[in-house]
Amino acid sequence: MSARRRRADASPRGRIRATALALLVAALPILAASAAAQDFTPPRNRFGQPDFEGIWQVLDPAPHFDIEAHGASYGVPAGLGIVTDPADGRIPYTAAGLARRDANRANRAADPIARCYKPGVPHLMYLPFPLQIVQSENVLTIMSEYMHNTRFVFLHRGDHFGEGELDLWNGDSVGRFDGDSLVTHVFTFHPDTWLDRSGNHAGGPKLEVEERFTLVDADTIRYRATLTDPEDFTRPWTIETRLYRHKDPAKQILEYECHAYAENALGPPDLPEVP
Amino acid sequence: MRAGRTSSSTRRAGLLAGLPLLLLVLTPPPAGAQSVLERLPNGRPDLSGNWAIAVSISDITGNIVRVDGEPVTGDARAIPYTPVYAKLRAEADSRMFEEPELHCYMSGVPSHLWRQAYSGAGLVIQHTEDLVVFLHEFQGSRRIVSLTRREHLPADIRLFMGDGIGHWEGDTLVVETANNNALTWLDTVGNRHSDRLVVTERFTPVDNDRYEYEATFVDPEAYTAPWTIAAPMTRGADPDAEILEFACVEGNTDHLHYTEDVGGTSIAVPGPGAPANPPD
Amino acid sequence: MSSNGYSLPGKASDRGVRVRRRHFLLFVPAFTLATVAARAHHSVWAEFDNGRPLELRGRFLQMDWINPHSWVHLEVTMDDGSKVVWAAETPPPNQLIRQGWRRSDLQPGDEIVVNGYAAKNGTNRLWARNVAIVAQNGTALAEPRTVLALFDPNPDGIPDGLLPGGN
Repeated sequence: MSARRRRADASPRGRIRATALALLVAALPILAASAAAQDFTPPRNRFGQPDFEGIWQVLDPAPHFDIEAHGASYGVPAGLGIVTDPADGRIPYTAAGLARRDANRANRAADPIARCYKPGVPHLMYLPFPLQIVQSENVLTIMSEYMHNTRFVFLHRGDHFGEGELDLWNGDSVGRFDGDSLVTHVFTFHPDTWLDRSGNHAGGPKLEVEERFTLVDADTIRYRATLTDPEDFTRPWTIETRLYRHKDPAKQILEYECHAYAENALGPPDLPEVP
Repeated sequence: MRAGRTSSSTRRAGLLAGLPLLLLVLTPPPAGAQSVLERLPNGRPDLSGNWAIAVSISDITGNIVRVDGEPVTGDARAIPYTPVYAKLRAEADSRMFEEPELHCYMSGVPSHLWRQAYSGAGLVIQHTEDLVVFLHEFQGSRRIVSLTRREHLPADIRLFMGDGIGHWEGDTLVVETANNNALTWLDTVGNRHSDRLVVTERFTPVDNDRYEYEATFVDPEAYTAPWTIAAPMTRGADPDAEILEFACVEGNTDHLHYTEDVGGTSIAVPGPGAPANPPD
Repeated sequence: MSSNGYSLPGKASDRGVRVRRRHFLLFVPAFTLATVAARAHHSVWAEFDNGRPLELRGRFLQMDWINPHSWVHLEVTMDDGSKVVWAAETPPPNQLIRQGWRRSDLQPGDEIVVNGYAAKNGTNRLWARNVAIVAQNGTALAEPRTVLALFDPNPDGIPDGLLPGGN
């Protein structure tokens, strides 16, 4: 929506036109605000990409604990949930997926975050730690303060690794720009990732995560992720939340080298049983 | 375990046996004449890309060029340790359990540049007008250097990768890193520093595929004088190499099997250990 | 050459969110040798004894395809007939894959030979220098098929700590 400025015309017709124009101009902020979510045009970097660079963080602390709607408990803030599809806000588990979730709930010590392990995607995006985005021609890098986790979204290739060759906690991410949005496809997941600290499960070689990052204003990224896994979910489902820009110019990514602070307490990793 | 023999042979081995490997890594892309230095829009040299910095992983002293401001060669290439840190160095073989990488710690500044560069794309630099980011596949290590900040973090904050601030002197990038913790080593034989270490690095371009790298170490607790290493920095032969994920704590068990003589908790068992296999 | 070193040839047109998962992305190896540098994320000789070389022959059980090191588990029959499970430590999957090793290369029941160095603490662990398949499905291979060979500058035998880059 662009406002065209016209020189005022002194004739009667001009005055009517000017008045109409004045009314139109007065209405513009209202029209613009309602259109902002779709119409904000982010600046472009020198590669012609929408510019996502900066330090970002989710404001809502709740999804890190539980991505479904939940009441508060000790140490856990209440949350409205970030599952937007299906409309009831519940993860559409299969029986197998539900069994996996329930096993997680019964074994909180296996929570990757409790062990200082990689959080997986999408959980990395709504951890209670800032993340910094840096862009190059062929890769967009997402650096979380948590355990120096770094995601590379490769922009120059569309293929993933052969299924089952590697188990990647944070998956392998390929992406492209769709207009002003970044769209990714993440695949080749490790089976033991969680979606949050309450045991919600998504992981394994069949999981595919498709993300969409959209700058809805200069300081806000709308983040959507659609998860597909025919073994664990009856259908694809979607979460949505917002990442907000850290505006303090002194803000920088520090370190949270979790295991270094607690190495002796964490114990050895759980390795597969040998037959 | 013949610890003494191992350490000296290791040191020798490190310096000699590493050479063929380094030559492979250092093979520059076929260019012939000097390549034109690529620059960012603000005119600064663009360090983006894959790189190899030819400093020894096993023993950093081979790369020392100056001690206390004076050039040194041969046996004079020794770290000017304070007595406390000289003792730590002498005890290194019995303290191998403290090697940071054994515990999946990042390697620290500046040695991560070569110690964590031997996997995948090696050392990858992403460079914008505000930031220089050093990235590795190995242990997923990374270091973020601000090109806009002027002051370091409060002294209470100690980081594995320190706090790096960069500025330009002509075409040379100068990075000063303070706020280091004392958990990282400079190499595998056990040269160390305290948490008062400040490292100043200089990246000076020769052309687009070659830089000269220099790092000066100042640490009043560990060293009696500043000392400087230098090495060539070469753009990687393979621009297509990628960084894969490298989970470390998720599967690390080696530290549980270090024996007491190297500072671990496991008990060394003498004897051949080799089972006799039945004949084919 | 792109300015950030990430460009891959021939894939620029492969855009799109739906990806072909059957393709295996072949990495141009970082080393032009057919072997992998013998380097661990820590000092190997603090944990394993280069004075205790081992050659184990046994039945492959499973492989832990994990970081920071992968593990090959094999069941070895001892002199007295007892069966002992050994674990051989290898480079991580990232390096194995670049060398050409695939998860499907070793199948349970394959007979393999592992050369390496025993752990100092007497546990059934070794640092693997070489892994080769000698029999599959009960049939001996005409030639052992090597799946892992670490760079060895001493062609005459067990290197005495002389692995590239030291430990």
